[in-house]
Amino acid sequence: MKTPKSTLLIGCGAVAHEIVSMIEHNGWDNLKIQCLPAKIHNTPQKIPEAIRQKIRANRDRFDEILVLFGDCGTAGILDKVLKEEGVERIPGAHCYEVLAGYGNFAEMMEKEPGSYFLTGFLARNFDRLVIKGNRLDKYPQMIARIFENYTRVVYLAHTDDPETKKLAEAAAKTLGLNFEMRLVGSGAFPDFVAAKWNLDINP
Amino acid sequence: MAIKIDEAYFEALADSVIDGEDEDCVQLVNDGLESGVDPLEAVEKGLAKGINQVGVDFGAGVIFLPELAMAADTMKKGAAILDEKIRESGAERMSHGTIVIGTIKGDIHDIGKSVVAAVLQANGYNVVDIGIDVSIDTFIQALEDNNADVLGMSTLLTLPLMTMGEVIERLKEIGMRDKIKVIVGGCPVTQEFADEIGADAVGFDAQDAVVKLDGLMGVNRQAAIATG
Repeated sequence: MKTPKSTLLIGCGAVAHEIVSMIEHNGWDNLKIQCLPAKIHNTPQKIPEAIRQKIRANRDRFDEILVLFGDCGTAGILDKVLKEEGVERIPGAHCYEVLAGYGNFAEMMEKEPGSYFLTGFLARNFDRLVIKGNRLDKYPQMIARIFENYTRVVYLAHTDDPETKKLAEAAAKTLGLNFEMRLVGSGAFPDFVAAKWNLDINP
Repeated sequence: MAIKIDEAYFEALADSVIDGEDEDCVQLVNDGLESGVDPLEAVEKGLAKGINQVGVDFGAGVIFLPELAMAADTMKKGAAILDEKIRESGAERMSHGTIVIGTIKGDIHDIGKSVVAAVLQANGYNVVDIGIDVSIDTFIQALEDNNADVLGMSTLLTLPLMTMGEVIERLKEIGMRDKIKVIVGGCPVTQEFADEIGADAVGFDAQDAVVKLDGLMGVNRQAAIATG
């Protein structure tokens, strides 16, 4: 195993738990994580510059920087910024695709295009980020309109925690959608990080 | 109820769209028609002005998704009544062309596409919105049925992106590509992607879609304003 140099992982608050758990579980102590607030997903146009600032603020403090964001609705602008900054990111359109695993995500979407995904973080902060973050608390009558074409909530569970599962189920009920849970661990994050430095992944 | 048709009336109509007050909008439209408003004028000075402002406000982050959806729905309700009156009167609304618009197969997102449709309609395009999860065959059929000039395809997702390219390929196969302009849009759609699949333009938001479509269709709004 080649030990990674001092490396910063820039991630999203919505998947911070999954990334920290990956680092701890595998003993990758040289990897540090900094996150952008999850609510930035409500304004994806702000993501590229926020990540650029994070890179620039930390460039001198780490040997390497890796971005664990998908495109996240930036229409390729994040990739342009990362190219300018010379920093690599994990492949994928968004964290749901990475968490579910690329093939699994495609299969779920093909089977049911009206799938609405929740991470553990989003389940725990559903009211603040999804309802209030989109002003649906002010316009509760619009919940049905906004989610009218969705058919199910898919909770991408990091662990089988019954409390978080309950919150995810309650979120599905609020949206009037069916509920499904998939236990995904840290998804495709460990494979990507391990492949970067030829690290071993603990079972 | 008879009301005075003046600038304040058109402003109230625009505000009803901006605020997503569909009942107010329908009431104003009906009262206006009863009081002799020109339905074309009501669309252009009222509804269109309102939905254009909503597009700008959403792009600037001033309003959020529910307000956007409410405005688009309100615009649709008001426009349906006025369009019916326009048809009945035999008058024709100036049209810069007919666009068939839909969300591509594999994607059920509706609101962004609906807002683009409403803004294009407000800006003088004849819009045929064929909904969500639209297959290649359905797009082609709708283009033929409506003798359309433009195809608009939208997606919020990455996975169905390549289907946009397949629609364009089908247009080429059946000899329709030269007759149909293609504009694409949605979160994951970049200029590079549009170039790769051979689309004519990307609309990065509703206002941008109007500008790009005007360019494709040779519409010069400045000249139109200058010449009255």
